[in-house]
Amino acid sequence: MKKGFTLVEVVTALAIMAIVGLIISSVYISIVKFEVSKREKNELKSIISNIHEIYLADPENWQKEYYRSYNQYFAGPVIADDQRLIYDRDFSLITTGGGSYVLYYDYGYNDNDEVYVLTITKIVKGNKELVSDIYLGRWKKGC
Amino acid sequence: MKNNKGAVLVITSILLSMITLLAILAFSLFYYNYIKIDRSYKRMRNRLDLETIAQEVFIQFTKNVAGGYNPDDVIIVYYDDREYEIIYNGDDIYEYAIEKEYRNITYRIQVKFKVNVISEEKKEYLILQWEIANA
Repeated sequence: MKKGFTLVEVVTALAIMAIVGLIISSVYISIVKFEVSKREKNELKSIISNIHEIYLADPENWQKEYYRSYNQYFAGPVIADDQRLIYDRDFSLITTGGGSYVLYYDYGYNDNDEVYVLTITKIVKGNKELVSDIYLGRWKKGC
Repeated sequence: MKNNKGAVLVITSILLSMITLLAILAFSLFYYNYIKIDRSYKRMRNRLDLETIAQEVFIQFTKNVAGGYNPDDVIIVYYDDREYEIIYNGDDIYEYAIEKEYRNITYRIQVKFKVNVISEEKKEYLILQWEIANA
């Protein structure tokens, strides 16, 4: 009796393995993508909420308070002109270096209405813009 | 030798279906999780929108109304073509609520504040309550 597999059997087995491999790898890639996106969204949500909370508590010194609360190494003053916050890949606030995520904001004081205005203009990861134009409103000092 | 090609085919098809089903299940689970996070992100954005309206109503009150008004009246503040009512509760305490509906969920923010009149020009505003429901 002839032993071993025929060419058709081998090709069929290879085709089945390829199909299974394709399904598994595509699901794996999608899951990894979703996982990264999910984590980013969750972290961004926390960052925006935290900034807003600190801004409402003290619109005049929110930058300093934010650094004090979320960067354990922060000791110096905040550079007022540098309207951006830098985070590393784990979304920890850092004071130096390039960082993985950069939050740009627009902050200023309106003399006429005596209010502060804060808008998160964008949060970027490399060249990719993750969120944009989050208006955190106008707020008065000492409320 | 007995031909068992049929059995092999059945087992292979069962295995393949199971792997596909598992893959779909795993993917659905992660997608569901992602949707949940996405919804909570949108909830946060809605809450921020609501809070910025509440901030603006408060600022409009301090800017336009706090000068001369009858404390017995319901104070109307206009913002973004809408009217918001501020109710006087006595003892220099005022109260207002703002609501917003999104996907059958009503977000509501309740604000209570006190106005301390130091002099004619100078007033001190103290937020007593800033409570957000459903967000």
